[in-house]
Amino acid sequence: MKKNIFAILASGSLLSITPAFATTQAEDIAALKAYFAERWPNVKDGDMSNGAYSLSEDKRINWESMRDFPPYEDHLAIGEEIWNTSFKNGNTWASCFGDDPSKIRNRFPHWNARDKKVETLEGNIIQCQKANGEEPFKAKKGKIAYFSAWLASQANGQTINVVVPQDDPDAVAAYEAGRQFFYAKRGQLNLSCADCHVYQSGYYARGNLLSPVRGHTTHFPVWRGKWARSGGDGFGTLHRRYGGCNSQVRAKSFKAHGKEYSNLEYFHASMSNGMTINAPDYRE
Amino acid sequence: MKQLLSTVLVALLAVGMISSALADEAAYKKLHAEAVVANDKAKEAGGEWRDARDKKSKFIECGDKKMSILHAAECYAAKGDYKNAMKYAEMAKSQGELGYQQAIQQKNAGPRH
Repeated sequence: MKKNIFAILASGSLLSITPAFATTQAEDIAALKAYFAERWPNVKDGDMSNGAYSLSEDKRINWESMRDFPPYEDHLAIGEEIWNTSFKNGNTWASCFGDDPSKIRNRFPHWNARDKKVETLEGNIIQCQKANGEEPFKAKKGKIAYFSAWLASQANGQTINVVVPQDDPDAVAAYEAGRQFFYAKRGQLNLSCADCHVYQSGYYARGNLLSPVRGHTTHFPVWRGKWARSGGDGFGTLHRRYGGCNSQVRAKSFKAHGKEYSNLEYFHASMSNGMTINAPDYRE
Repeated sequence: MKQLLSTVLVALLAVGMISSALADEAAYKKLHAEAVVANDKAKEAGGEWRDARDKKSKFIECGDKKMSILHAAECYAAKGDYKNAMKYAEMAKSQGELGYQQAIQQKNAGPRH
């Protein structure tokens, strides 16, 4: 009897340390879609790729007027110029990514089974430059954002389908690490990504309407008014945004294209599976 | 005799002040070392906070500059202001400890919707 009681208690304590997130990618997406569908029955799932503008008519009017004359078109032209410029060794970007620029954006992020790591588009741009003896772009803004944004614009309308191979435990572990990052509270403000972009999405944080996570990655790199006002040109990559978010909750940010943010991107982009690419875009 | 007495008193006072300053310095150095260890531990767990010791942080003012908490502790120590140096070293240590605790508590974080 004592043994039985001990066994029951032991199994209970094991259950309590089992991660609450032992679900698959498909289950996670379905759960999020159901959560948002219940919360905003009048907002179409596909419209969430427009972020907070899918939730507020006032914000949407401002956003649409900004898109009449997009502030990022000159930067897209620079991105195209980068694609058409050969490296000093005579190679082109096609040597790393293939000939068709419209078929690049949607391959990322993906799991590299050989190197056992998540690969991101911007990470691979830097890797390609290094492999060809070029000085790599800065990791989060400037030319890397222009180039990545132009590549994304070439893929507009394509459906996102980030694959997590369920038969590869390392890939599943990377996805789960990204999910844990997303749901973990961090920093002095003790806030998780999910606190703002799942549970409090649609509410205001100061003057900012918090966007839903679903659809977040469809439009990156983005041109943000805030980034433009802080002395830059407005453009930034997803990992720049991650760093900014972490810093806002007073957590120390991680290195762009490092393991933490790449795993986060793997999970984060997965949550937009089934939505279409609509990049770049304007955000406040 | 009076002159000798006042000389002895001044000497005693000086020795007292010096030993007190040395004690403050030693206490500060100990706290500083503990703050570094606490933040290393938080970093290892992936839970370091922004303002504890990041070079980019502009959280605390020392002189005409703004800096991280631990850098402020070092700045005040360099000025000989061990009261503020210890205050900020303690704060940085506390942030390291809390960041570590938070990271451990959130190890199994997942959706709750």
